[in-house]
Amino acid sequence: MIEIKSLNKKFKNYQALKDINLHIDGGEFVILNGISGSGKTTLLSIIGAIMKPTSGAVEVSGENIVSLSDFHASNYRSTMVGFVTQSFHLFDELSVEDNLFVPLVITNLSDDEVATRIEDAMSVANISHKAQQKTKNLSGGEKQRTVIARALVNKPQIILCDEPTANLDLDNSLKFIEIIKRLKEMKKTIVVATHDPLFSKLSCVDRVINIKEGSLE
Amino acid sequence: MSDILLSNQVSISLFIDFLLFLLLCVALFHTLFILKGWKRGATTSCQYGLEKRSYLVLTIISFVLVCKIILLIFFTYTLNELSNIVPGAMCAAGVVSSNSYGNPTLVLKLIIIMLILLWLALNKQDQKAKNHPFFKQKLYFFIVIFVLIAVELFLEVLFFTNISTLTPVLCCSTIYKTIQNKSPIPFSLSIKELIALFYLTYVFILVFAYAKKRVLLFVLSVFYTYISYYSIVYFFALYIYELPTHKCPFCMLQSDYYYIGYLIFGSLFVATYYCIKTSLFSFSGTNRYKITISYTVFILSSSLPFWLYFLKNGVLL
Amino acid sequence: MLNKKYIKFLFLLLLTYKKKHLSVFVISTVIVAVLTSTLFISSAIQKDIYITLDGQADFTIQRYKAGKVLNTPESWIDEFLDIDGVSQVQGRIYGMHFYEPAETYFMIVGVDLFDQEVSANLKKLINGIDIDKFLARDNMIIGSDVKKFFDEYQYKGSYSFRPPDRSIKKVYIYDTFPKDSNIVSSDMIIMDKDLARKILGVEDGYVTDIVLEVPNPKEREMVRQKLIISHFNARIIQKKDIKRYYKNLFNYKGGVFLTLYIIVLITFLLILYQRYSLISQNDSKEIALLRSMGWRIDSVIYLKVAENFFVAFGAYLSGVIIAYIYVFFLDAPLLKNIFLGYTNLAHDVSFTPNINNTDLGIIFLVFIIPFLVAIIIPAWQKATIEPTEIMR
Repeated sequence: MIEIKSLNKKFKNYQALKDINLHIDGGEFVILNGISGSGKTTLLSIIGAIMKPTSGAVEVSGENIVSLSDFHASNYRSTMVGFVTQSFHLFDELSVEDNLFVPLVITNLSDDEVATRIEDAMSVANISHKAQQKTKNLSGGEKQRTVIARALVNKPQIILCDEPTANLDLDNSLKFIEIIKRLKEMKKTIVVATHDPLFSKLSCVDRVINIKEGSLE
Repeated sequence: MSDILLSNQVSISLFIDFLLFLLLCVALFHTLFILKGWKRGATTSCQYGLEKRSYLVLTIISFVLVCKIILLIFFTYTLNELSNIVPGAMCAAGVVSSNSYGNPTLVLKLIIIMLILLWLALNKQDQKAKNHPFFKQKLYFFIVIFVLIAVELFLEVLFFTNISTLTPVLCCSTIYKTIQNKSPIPFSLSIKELIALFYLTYVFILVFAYAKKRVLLFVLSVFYTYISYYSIVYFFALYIYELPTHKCPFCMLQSDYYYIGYLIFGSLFVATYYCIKTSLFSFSGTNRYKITISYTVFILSSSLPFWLYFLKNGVLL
Repeated sequence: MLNKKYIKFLFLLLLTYKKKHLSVFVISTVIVAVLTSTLFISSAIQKDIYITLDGQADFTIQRYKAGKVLNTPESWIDEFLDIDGVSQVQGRIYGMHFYEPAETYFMIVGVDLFDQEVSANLKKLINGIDIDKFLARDNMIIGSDVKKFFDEYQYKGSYSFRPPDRSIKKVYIYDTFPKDSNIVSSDMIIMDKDLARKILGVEDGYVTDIVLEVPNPKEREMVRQKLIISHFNARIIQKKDIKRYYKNLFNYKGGVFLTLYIIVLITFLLILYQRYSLISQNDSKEIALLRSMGWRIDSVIYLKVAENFFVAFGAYLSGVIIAYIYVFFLDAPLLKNIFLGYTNLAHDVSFTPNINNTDLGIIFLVFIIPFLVAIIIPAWQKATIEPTEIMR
């Protein structure tokens, strides 16, 4: 599903990614293991088409997303990718339900379809009981589950998580992992960039890829 | 000269036009910058930056389009108001013909709106395709539009500053009448021939639209706009005003005639736009449907007063 | 793009983040209110003057000598009656009286109360007068501004005029015109024609000017020609000339104000542009979030422009409503003097509620379009924020 060929990314004087070659199958659950600054976030950003590489190609279902114009890259992000970041980027003054509504505004879905998707996403992420609450009043774990629900609402094929448990306690981290397992059962392609040891012990993880100083080991 | 410029409507019209022109100058600057650096197929961050700039050009053009449409309606309204100050003018027709800049200004305004709409259609085609096939073309097209808008602003200033509040102007019955046996109708057609051509061309346009004949559709739709103008002014208008001497394209834009002019000219404009867009870009079912509907609205709104009058009275004016 | 979901989201954002736009909204409302008030006042005065003018005679004839207007011979009246098409001819006595204590002028108008052909305007004002009682002694009816001045200088029931022959003429105040009767009548004094003649010093056999009616509009041009050749020193003023004069006068005053307003507006827009160009961290994160979710650059631009359009439109509506209350309920203190001027008396008038679509359209164009022009480039700058912001 995801084919990365000779990927390089250079920031001014600093080479973040060096000649990355990687293949990820559809439905695979991959961990990107590495310390801060190893290039995990950069790699995820490029796969999610929110950053352009300096050179190389990233093919998703046969299409090179690197050469897409902003018009098509936005479309790719909207339909194929769901992001879960370490900081809970939510609209604080909006409710959980309204936050999940935001990605669906630009789609052509009917009101009923929108409502169904929001409900389904909330139930997978186990946050339905907080639907009307403003996200600023939620706990850390609840915010993270809202972020997951928002990532799922467009029914993406690929879920990209960047240090998702960095700001969670153990209990919430475990709850998060339960949700990820459910996503694995739904046959989503999941890439989690983390150095949290909880993930490497999971049985449902298909592969652990180590990344160090911009190169894969 | 100063009397006209101090009229609220005129000073505001010019102020807004000037403001939009300044905005377009910004768009032009970015356009030239993009054209200098654009390399087709490149995927560098520099190229990506140029693509982002093109969105500013797109935004400005879309905004200017909406404003230009509002200003066009305001312009026709202003012309009508000015007829109260300009001696001899009974409606906008007199004001427009008060100097040689009036008609070109009005026609240019319409052409510019049409071109901007086509630009947006071209932009949509360019964005939808994966490799921006029309990127440079649309930017060059914008430069052409920019030049026309500059000319339009210049003409508009000349027009307003040359309207005299002392010299009387002609009213529409004089402007649109036959002068010394020389018919104002093109190709020296009689009224009957003109109207027959009017309806026949409509049928042929629909045929060509469904037969997907690009060039014929394009040419015929432009030709049809031309003869429709004369058909409306010299024939159908008489039945809207119910007066054999009242030949005026402006009076039907007023409340006295329920603003029917906007429906007639508006539907003609929209239909012409769809024809040109379809012939240039795509013969999809939706486009052909839009052509059919808009031309039918035009035909109905322009000829209905005539048919109603004829059926009611049994005679022609 | 403009679908139900989009509009719902737009209003959700506007209502949730109202504080962000509050300062801009308030200043915009003030600007719109001032502009609208001026237009309302101008339109109200114009309308009142036009109504007055409509009641005016079709032709006014005055006598000129060496560029100065002199009293017109009454003998001209019979000559004019002989012209075909002329239906009514009347000599008028009126003039300005200098009121020394306040150094201002009143308009004295002499009226023949028995004359059936008194002008429509005056008829309205003097309707219902008990003529016998009025003519029993030297009486006058005064406008509301005149009354104010008389009260200020303690002239309670009467005032003694000083005609040119140095005599003293005491005239009693019979009644006052209501405040809202007509702007034009507020500094007028109406009295019997002969009394006015004495006070203004108009000699017998003369009148101030002559007015005549030509009911058939097609005959007016011909009558005009005949009037011009009747006397070499006659000055002919047609009603439509007066109307055009006033329209140009209003355009002039309005034009000057509009120019000043535009300068203020441009300053406001530059401030607006600066303010929206400052992209706060919250803004960055918000836009980056939208972009990472798949929002295109143009979708974000349209969202920002639409947000600002509704702020501007809200300010427009509020400003218009406030202006309406200020002008038509509070009688526009301070602003009205820009148009009414201090040349006669300080005016104590009330404006007839009247809104026309032109004024509303003008305000919409001259405020909202420049407002949006000022925010377009900042909106684009925000929309092109890289979605990588959310990965930090």
